[in-house]
This record gives sequence, structure tokens and C-alpha cells, in this order.
Amino acid sequence: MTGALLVALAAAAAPAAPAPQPLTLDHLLGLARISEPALSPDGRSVAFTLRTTDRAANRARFDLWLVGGDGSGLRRLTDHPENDTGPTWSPDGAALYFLSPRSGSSQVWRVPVGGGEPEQVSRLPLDVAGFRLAPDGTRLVLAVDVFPDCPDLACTVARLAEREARQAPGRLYDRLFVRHWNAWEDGLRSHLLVVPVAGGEPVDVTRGLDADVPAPPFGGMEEVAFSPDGRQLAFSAKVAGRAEAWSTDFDIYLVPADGSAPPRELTLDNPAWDARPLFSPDGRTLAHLAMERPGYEGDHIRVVLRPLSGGPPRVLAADWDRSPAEIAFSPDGGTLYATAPDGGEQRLFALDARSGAVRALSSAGTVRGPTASRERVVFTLESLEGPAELWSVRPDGSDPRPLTAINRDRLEGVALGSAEQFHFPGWNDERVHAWIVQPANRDPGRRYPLVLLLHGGPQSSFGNEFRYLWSSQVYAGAGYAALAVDFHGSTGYGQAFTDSIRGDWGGKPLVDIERGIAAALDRYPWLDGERVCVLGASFGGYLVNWIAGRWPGRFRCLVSHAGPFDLRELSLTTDELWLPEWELGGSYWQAPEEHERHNPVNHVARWKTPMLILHGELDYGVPQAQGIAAFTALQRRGIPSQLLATPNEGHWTLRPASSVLWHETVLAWLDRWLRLPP
Amino acid sequence: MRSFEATLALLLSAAPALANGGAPPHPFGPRDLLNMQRLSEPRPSPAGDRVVFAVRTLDPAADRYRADLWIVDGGGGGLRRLTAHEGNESGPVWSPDGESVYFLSPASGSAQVWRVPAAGGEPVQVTKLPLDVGAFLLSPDGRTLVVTLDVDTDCPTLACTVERSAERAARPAKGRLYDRLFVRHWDTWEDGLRSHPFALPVGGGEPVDLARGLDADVPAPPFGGTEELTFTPDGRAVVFAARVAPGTEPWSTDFDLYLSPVDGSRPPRNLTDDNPAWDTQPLVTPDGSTLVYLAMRRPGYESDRFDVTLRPLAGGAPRVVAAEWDRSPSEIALSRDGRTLYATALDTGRQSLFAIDLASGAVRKLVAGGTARAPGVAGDRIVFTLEHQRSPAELFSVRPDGGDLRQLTTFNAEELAGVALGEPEQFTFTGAGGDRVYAWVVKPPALPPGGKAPVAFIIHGGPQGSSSDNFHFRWNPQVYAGAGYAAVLVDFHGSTGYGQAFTDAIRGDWGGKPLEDLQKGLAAALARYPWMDGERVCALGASYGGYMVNWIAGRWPDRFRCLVSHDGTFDQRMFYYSTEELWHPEWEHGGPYFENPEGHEKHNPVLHVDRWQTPMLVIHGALDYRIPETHGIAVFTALQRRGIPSQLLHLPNENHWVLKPASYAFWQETILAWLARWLGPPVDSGSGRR
Repeated sequence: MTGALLVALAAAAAPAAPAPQPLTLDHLLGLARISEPALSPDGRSVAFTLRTTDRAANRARFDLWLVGGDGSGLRRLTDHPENDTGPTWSPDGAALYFLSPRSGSSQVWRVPVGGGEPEQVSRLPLDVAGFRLAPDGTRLVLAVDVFPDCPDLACTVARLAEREARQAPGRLYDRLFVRHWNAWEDGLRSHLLVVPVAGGEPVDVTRGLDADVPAPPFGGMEEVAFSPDGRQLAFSAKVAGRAEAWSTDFDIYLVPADGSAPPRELTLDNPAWDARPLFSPDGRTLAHLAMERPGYEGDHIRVVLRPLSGGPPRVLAADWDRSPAEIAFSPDGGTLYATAPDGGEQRLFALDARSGAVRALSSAGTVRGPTASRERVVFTLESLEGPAELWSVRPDGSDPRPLTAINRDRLEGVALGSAEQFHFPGWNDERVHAWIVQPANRDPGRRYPLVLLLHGGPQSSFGNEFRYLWSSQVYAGAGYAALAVDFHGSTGYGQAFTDSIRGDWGGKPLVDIERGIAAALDRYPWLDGERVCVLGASFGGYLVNWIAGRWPGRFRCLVSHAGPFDLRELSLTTDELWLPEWELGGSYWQAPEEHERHNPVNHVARWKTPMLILHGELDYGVPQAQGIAAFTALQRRGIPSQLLATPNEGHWTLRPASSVLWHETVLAWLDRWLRLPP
Repeated sequence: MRSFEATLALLLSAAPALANGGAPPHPFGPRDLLNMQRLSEPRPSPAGDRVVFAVRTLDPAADRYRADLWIVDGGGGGLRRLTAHEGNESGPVWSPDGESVYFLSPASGSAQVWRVPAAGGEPVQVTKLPLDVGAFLLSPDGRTLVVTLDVDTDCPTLACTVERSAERAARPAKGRLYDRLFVRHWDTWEDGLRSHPFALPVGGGEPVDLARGLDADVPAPPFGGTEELTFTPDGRAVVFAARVAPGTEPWSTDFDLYLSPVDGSRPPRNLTDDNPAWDTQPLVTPDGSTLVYLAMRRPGYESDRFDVTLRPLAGGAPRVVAAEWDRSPSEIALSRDGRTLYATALDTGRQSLFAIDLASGAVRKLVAGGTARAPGVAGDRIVFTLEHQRSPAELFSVRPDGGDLRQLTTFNAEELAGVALGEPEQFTFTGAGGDRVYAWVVKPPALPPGGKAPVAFIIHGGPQGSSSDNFHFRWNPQVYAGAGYAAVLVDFHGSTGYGQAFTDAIRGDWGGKPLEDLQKGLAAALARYPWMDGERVCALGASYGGYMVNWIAGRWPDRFRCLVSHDGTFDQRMFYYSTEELWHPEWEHGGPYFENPEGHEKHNPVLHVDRWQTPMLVIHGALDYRIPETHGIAVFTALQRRGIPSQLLHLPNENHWVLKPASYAFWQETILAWLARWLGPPVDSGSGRR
């Protein structure tokens, strides 16, 4: 597979005339987002979830769709206004189970694939957050928030009602977390309940476990797996007691699906992160992902194979210097398909389960959600130049085919900026990669202002993907070139490159940025190096705040979203303490110098660049006080500045109306400082 | 004054003794505190023969206090309720003829001015404005109202403000874009509206914006009220206080007094442009010649001494009255002849009532026990509320020479009869720098002979404040005494009521002299009161008191069994950058953080976490924008990460204070449970607690 195919897809969308229009926010929000592809048991159909945006209702809407394995027969399977997600095939391929709140609470439903009305399967008195179906189709495992000391669901329901009726809403905490991501802790834990599909009493197989399964904020049912014979469940959980906020020690547990014995920990040997359990098709081996270093969330992720009959675990492809994001077994168990960031792409790989030999099955773009039959591997593929569509490929990587072109009409008449990757000698002359997206409809006779987009993490990547937050195409559509530098610390370039940012947040990345801009200006003479603004969120926002004091004369304007401003305060107020403790050498009182060395707050006396600050009030990873503080510094110094404070958004800006206001505010700020008279 | 205080105590306790039906009183607790009725806003009638006032009574089902207006004769007879609506009636103002009372009521669905016959009868709605009325004044001739309304100052009409607010509320995107500070203040995000005073005829008519063109709030949030506005005696103009400081509002204390004709014929005129510090609380002498007001001298210092200042309205230099009097008035009222100013002021652990002769500057103390508030002139007497540590406020009156103090109401007599209160006593000791420092102790009411009481060591906020002789509805030492603890409250350096030099002494020394005072004060209390158990002591405080608790955690880590830190500053750097009123840290610590980091870091609790070891209860309100809740979260994080026993009480709907009744009860009971956990059971009082 090549990038040319993707480009061909995008090009096919463009008619001969009239001249295409640059992408706008309306276009962006009008796109349909494909996820959760699931191959039918016979491999001939693919179910998937399609997200569209209901602007009037200010919400996303999810429906289930179906398409033939050859791309034929695309059709919508559910069209209820409520969100239908998590498509799961029945073993006979005749029906799809899914999750829907259409009954008034979130429950499991089933719809016949051949046509017919959906029917409700689970009827719990509490919301179901996720589910898995046993291989024989007789039982479900459900993730439900319960009070872990309650003997039954009725107890949880009663206690919630009692709490709701209380006049004093104060909450008393004895330990951390008190809040996480965008929610205050409420004493509930996500537990796994096994219930017969035909109905019956749910059994909490995680009863007594002081942990959430799956773990918030991002864990889903990929953390839970039925054994092929349906008699066991594997799941990952962090049982850390008072240390939950600074531990990354997730472990894999095995439990009888009938709850006849308590969960048994399989990964006692590893004090670091173990997750994503998968049973091999023959049921003899448990595959999972694992890190080595406790407390480090950006560590190298390896595939581990663990014989269930006992015996030492085996690391597969130990020399492969990439970290898988998702894994799936081939039906014969001989291959593990994995996606992993790789040099600015996220590629699909096949790992031989015996030899550990690694083959890349995709080249350009970002692959997600692999699902395999004997004949094909199906996944979504997107790039900077186009949103995700369904693709399939042979297990040997040949014959890549698009199965859908759902966004073709939506992009008709829309001009996207073309994307190009380049590399340059960054810090210590080490190779650093960057992506640039040209302004849409670029006029070769003009020079264009540049926006630099800095990713968060810091261990992540602004790679070849179609983003909806921090979309390079939004800036390209507004007439800017968008440059994204994968500075030291980014993922997909080997673990050493990722690790190199530890203790050096303001060091190597700043050098990489300086050299990256210089390289881009050198390489693309149509860029106007006088007109540059820098934008970033989270760690990217930290870098913007750092640049404000450490490189104050360079940029026309800055945009800092949810960016740490004072690392001391951040390390004491963020939810997940393991991150600052790993990156900054321990708790503040153990390593004050490490916290202060690259701390933006210490350089406010040099600030002079106009800055837009954006921060959501429900952001408990980087609390909003950080944004308010940066704005206070700017205002007190008389520097032109704005603050967009969003009461109903967290670390990310998710609601459609919020996203529109966010983008309009950012673009107006860029226009104010970059769009000067020619 | 000792004999006077004895008289006062007798007055306040006499009625309870009579009302007690014979059941043994139980120790005072949080629920008793909530049941107390809260009197405020006494307003004498023009003839001085009656007083109308507001009474707030607990409505437990609705989790609120409801305010009603009451009226009483000047002699204490004829007490009756004037309004009975379930909403809050407040802000009573007499008509000039004494026939009726104007007040603010939400009965129509929005806050509007109403009127009720003073003799009783049905209230009538007076204003029907499309916006809520914040506060109001009535002109001396009774014909003109001045109401304050939150308006969009770009709007030519009130309807325009209504439309824009509705349009904004309907927007699906909730984000707010700010170009300048404040972005939030006290417990509220800025919404772009400004409070402006509008004049309109009582009979109805078009409101005239008296502060048009001023980029300012009148009165000033969060605490300003009608004391910041006054009519001139001829009723043709209003004088009000306003800070016009666009773009610099959070670091300016430059409030000025403006004169604005009520017919809107001229724009507001700044009368105090020559003073870059705070000018407020305008009054005009009855002859219309002179402005009487309070003024500070030092710009940027919110706790500077307020000087009583006279300024000829025709022009001319201002004159400070009683310049040698080293007290800072809280509230002021003019005598009928305009020659005497009655003022309340903190005064060595009390809030006394003073009379100041405006010609000579001579100052006389009229009432010197407890806390006097809201003085008003009623014929030949002064009416005010008076409270102390053994009684909530009741109405009192006194002669202008300080004689014949009379209690007019006994709203809380019955409730007080059923509770046992601790005996307060003030003592002094030699604190930091050899200075005399004052403190209060309250002894548990049921301490058996020879028994020893554990100690609750309560540290006030501000820091320019005072643990004084009042009946506090949050940090009330009687709750601790009722639970069996000795309460000790030290007015450390920086406290108010002991002269300006003592108040000023905390600047740049937050963790220095105050800590020394607290250390010496606790030692002095233990030496003086052998019934205290010095082995069992917990320290508690809110705001600056919470800062001090956080400071103690690292700087005096081996003294206390437990600590309670409520809304306390933990990291002075982040406090500077995330609080709203920047003038405060800039004054206290020597400028903006980026200009003087050493000043802010010198006494910074976050730098001493490595020595923390004392169990701590941390409390923070989510709507606290003065000291944002991230401070409380950070303290709890530090405690948990160090493995120190700790709890966090998070109050999602409370600000820097705890105001809702159910939240107060939960807050107080959580604190008492924490003390009980670490101090052990208090000495058995021998009577049941409820």
C-alpha cells in the first residue's frame, strides 16, 4: 500500500470544475468518522460505527453501518437518534450486539443483520459502559459502575439515590484520586458483571477488587477478553490502594466467567504496566502488551506471550523498536497484527507469533482498529490529506483495497492542503522528522505565513493522521502553512528518542523547534519567516509558555491551550502523579531543581509576545488555574492577550459548538497577528 | 469598661434565663448555631420612634435562610413582622413621612423595589424593571429612586441588555472570551455586565444611568452595597464610589467619589481625583456643604487605615478629622445636625461604637463591649446591632453620650436558654518584638473541676482581620467549647484593631512575627489556664489562617496532634498568578511575582513539605476564586504522597466561605470528627450532646 492510493482517493473527490474551496470548519464538522470495524465470523461483512455531527443538537451522533468485505452493499444498520456503538457479531453472524442508551439508560441491544427491529438484551438498573460477548454467544460481560462494597446492584442504585437527595453536596476524600481527567471521584468502581444473554442474575467477577475495570479515563473493552471456550475472562486492572495516583502497575488477571473463584493475577512478575489481554485462538496462550519500567507511561510497549499452562512468558520481537497501540490475532493464531507509530506514520504490522519476525503491511497514513479473517485484514486508514475510510489488505500486505468512500461526497469541491514529510538535523544533529501541510490552493507566486503546531504528551506524535482537534487542514484552509515538528520525546522513532526528553522538557525540544523552523524556511522559499505563530496544547502548550520566556523575540503570536505554566503547581495538582514524577525526578520536595529548571513561570520577566490562552474548566490533568495564571502574567505585563475559558470542556474541546468557538477564536487571533497588509 | 461589659452580659443573658423552661441546657453545637436568627440592617424611622430591620431565619427544607422585615418601637415595644413573603425581603428604607417602608423583594419573580405601609398592610410593587435591582436609595424628598442594575454598558437601553443576555444564554458554545482581567472575582466569572446606578421617579419613568461612561461597577463587587452611594440633601445629585481603572482593575485600589446629577444633565464628576488611594462611604452634611467620607493614603493597600475625611463640595482641600485616632472605621453615620459622626471600628478584640466631633476631632467611645454594627440615628438616640461571643446580634440603642444602653429585641433568647455556652476571656501576652498581643479563650461550659480540655487553636484570616468578640456564623469558638475543647484565638501581628503600625507589621513577614506570636500565645494560654491540656492541641484556620496552618505544617511540624486547613494558600507563586485581587499579594510581598520572586518565596509553605508530618484535614470550596481550589488539592496531594493521614473535604457549591446551611453543618461536623479522631474524646461534660 502506498500514499498514492490515499491521494488518489482524495483526488477522485475533486471534480474538474469549478475551483475547489478551501476547507472550513463547516466542512470539517460535516465529515463522517469511521471507527470500530468488526469483521463478521465468515469474513464477508464488516460492521462499523459511523460518527456524524448533529450541529443543531450540539452533539456527536453514532450509528452502526455495514459493508461487504469487497466494498459492496454499504448500508446503515441502525438509525436511532441515540448513540449506537460497539458492534459485536453473534457467533452465527446473523445479528449484531451493540450498546445504546435508547431505553433511557445505556444497555446492550441486538439487531438482526438481515433486517428487523433491534431488541433490548440487557436490562440492568445501572448504565452499561461496555460489553463483550462470549464466543458461544450465551453470555455477556458488562462493565458497570458500582459501589465495590455493595452486595448487589440494588444497593448501588439505592445509595446513589440517597446521595442525590442529600442537601450538602460536599465530598470527603481519604485518598487520591479525588478527581481524574474530567470527573470528580464518586466512590463508584467499574466492575465486570457476567450475565446470560437470555437474562438472569449478574455475577460480579471482579467483586472485592479495589480497581476500575476497565480503567478510566480511556480504557475500554479491549482490556477484557473471553477465552475461546468462554469459561474464563482475562482483564487488566491496577490494584494499587493508596498509590493509585502514582502507580502504573496494571496487571493481567484471569477469572472464571462464572465467578466461582476470585481473580488471579497473572503478571506478578512485572511491576510495570500490563494490559490488552488477548487469548490465542487455541486458548493456550495469553498475549498482552507490557512495559518494563514502573511509573513510566511512555515506556517501550512489547508484546508478551504467556503460556496458560504455566511456564515463562516470552517477549515477541524483542528487538523491534516500536510500541504497538492495538493488537489482534489472525484466526489461525500464527500472526499478531499490530498497529504502531512508525516514523510519522501509524502502520499496520504482522508479527509472526513463533519467530517474532515483523513485516509492515501498510506504508503511508495512520492505521487503526485491525480486524482479521483468514483472507483479509480490515482496518481504517487516514492521513493528513483525508479522513479515515475502511480498507482491507491480504495478510501478506498485498492487494490493498478501499472498502468505503463515505467522505467522498462530503469533500467534493473542497481543496485540502498537500502534505509532505521532511527531516533535518535537530538537537545534537540527530534526525528529526516534521510534516508540513501547504495552504490549500497555494499560489506559487505568493509567500505564506506559517503556523507551528506542537503536540502534547510529550510522548506522542503529530504524524500522518487526519485530526479533528489540531487539524493541520484547518490552518491550511485558512491560508496558512502548518508545520508539525516531532521533537525529541516523540513516539515512533525508537524508544531512545522518546526517552530523551526526560528531565529535558525545555531543552532538546526547543532546539528541534528552532532548527525545524529554519529547515522549513530553507526548504520552502514560499514561506514568510517573518510571519510565524506557534500553537500548542498540553505539553505543546507548555512549550508555548516556555517559548514565551526563552525565545521571546521570534514570533508574531502564540496560542497556548491547556498548557502547564508552573511545573511546581502542576506536579501538585495534576491527577496522574506518575507523569511529573517520572519526567521531573520525583515529587517536588524531592527534586525541586528538576521542577524549576525548565519552568515557564520563572521567565515571565522576559515575556513580550502576544498570546491567546485557552483552557477548559473540567481539565483536571492540567487544571485551569494554569491558564488563568498565564493570562494573569500577560495582562499584568501589558502584553496583548486573550483568554478563552470554557466551562463545559476538559483537556480536550469536544462539543461541536465549543469546537467552532475554539477554532474561530484561534483563527481570529492568527488573522490579527499574521494577516498584515501585504 | 469592665463594669459595662458585665452589664451587657447581664442584659443578653437575662431573657434566656427567664425563657428557660427548666430543661438542662445542652452544650452548644452546629445545629444550634444554624437555628439562631440573624438580625441586620436596622433603619430608624425619620422621627426616630421606630426601627425597621431584617431578620434571617433558617428554612431547613429549602436549605436557606429567609429574610423578613420586622419593625419595633424605639422603646422596644410593638415588635411585629412587616413582610411575610417566602423570598428574601431586605434593604429597608423609610419614606420621608415615616408612613411606609421601601424594600427589595423577589416576589414578582425578579428583584424589585416594593413598598409596605409601616403600620401594616399589603406590599405594593414600586419598580417593574426588566433587570434585577441590586440595591436602591430613596431621595430625601421621597420622589426619586436610585437603583443599581447590572447592564451592558454598550447598551443604550435596558431592553438591549436583556436581549443581549438572552442571546448569550441561548448560545450553544459556553466558552467566554476575555481581553483583560478580572476574568473572575470572588465566586463569579465576569459576564461583561457592570453594575450602574440609575435614577428614576418613584412613580415610574425612564431610568437615567448616573455612571454612564464609567468603566466601573457601582457598588463594587463582591462586597459593596448602598454605603457606597448617597443622595445630596437637596436630592438633586448622588455621590458614589467607583474605581475607574480599565485594564488595571485587579491591581488598583483607587476608588474615587463621583458626583452625578440625578437628571443626567452632566456626566459624573470625580471629587477625589487628588487621592490615588481608596475613597469610599460618602455622606453629605445636612447643609449640603461638605462631603464626609473614608479615605486611605497608600495606593494598593486594602488594609490601610481609613481616615475620616471632610471635603467642601464647593471645592477646596480635604481635611482629615481625628488624625491621631489610631482606629479604622467600618461603618459611619452622621448626626442630624451634621456635627457628629458615629462610627464602628475594631478596637482591641471588639468592635466599638464611637462618636467623633467633626469640628474638633474629639473621639468618644459610646459602646465598648462586643461587636456593634450598622449604627443609625433615631431621634435623640443611636440604634445599632450588638453581638458578642455569647449571643448573636440583637437591636440596641444608646444615648449620644454613651449612657442608657437599652436592648430592643430578644430574638434568640429562647434558643440561647437551651444551650450551655463557654465563658470567653481575653488575655494578653508579650509576642514578637516584645509587643503586647491580645487573645481570646473560651472555656468549655461543662468542664468538671480538675478536668483538662484539649485545645482548638483557631487562626483568623485576612491576614488583616481579628478574632474579636462577635458571634461568628462559621468560625464560632462556642462550637468547639460545646464539643469540649478549649478555643484559643490569638490576634497576631497584622491583626486589625490595635493601631495601624500593628496591622502593617505583617507586610513582607507572613510567616515570621505571626508564627512567633502564635507560638508564644499558645504557651501563654497553657501557662495561664491549667485546665487546658497542652499535649492535645490541633490548629485550625481559613484563608490566611489556612496559609498559616500550611506554614505550621512545615515550620512547626512537631507541635500539633492535627491540623485543619480551609481555603488556605499553599504555594505563594501560584497564588499570585491565579488569585483575582492582585493588589493584595503585590502589597504584601513586594510587587508582582516576576519582579520580586524572593518576596513571594520567602515564607512559602510549598517549600517546606519535606518536613510535613502532622495529620491534616484540608477543606476547599470549588467556587473560591480568591484562593482557587487547586491550593487545597495540592495540599492534599502533598499529604497523601507523603503518606500522612489526611482528608480532603471538597465543597462544590461554596466559595471562600461556607454559606449554605447544610454545607455548614457538614463542614463543621467533619471538622469536629477530625478533632475527635486526633484529640481523643474531650473530657466528659456530664451532659448529653445532641
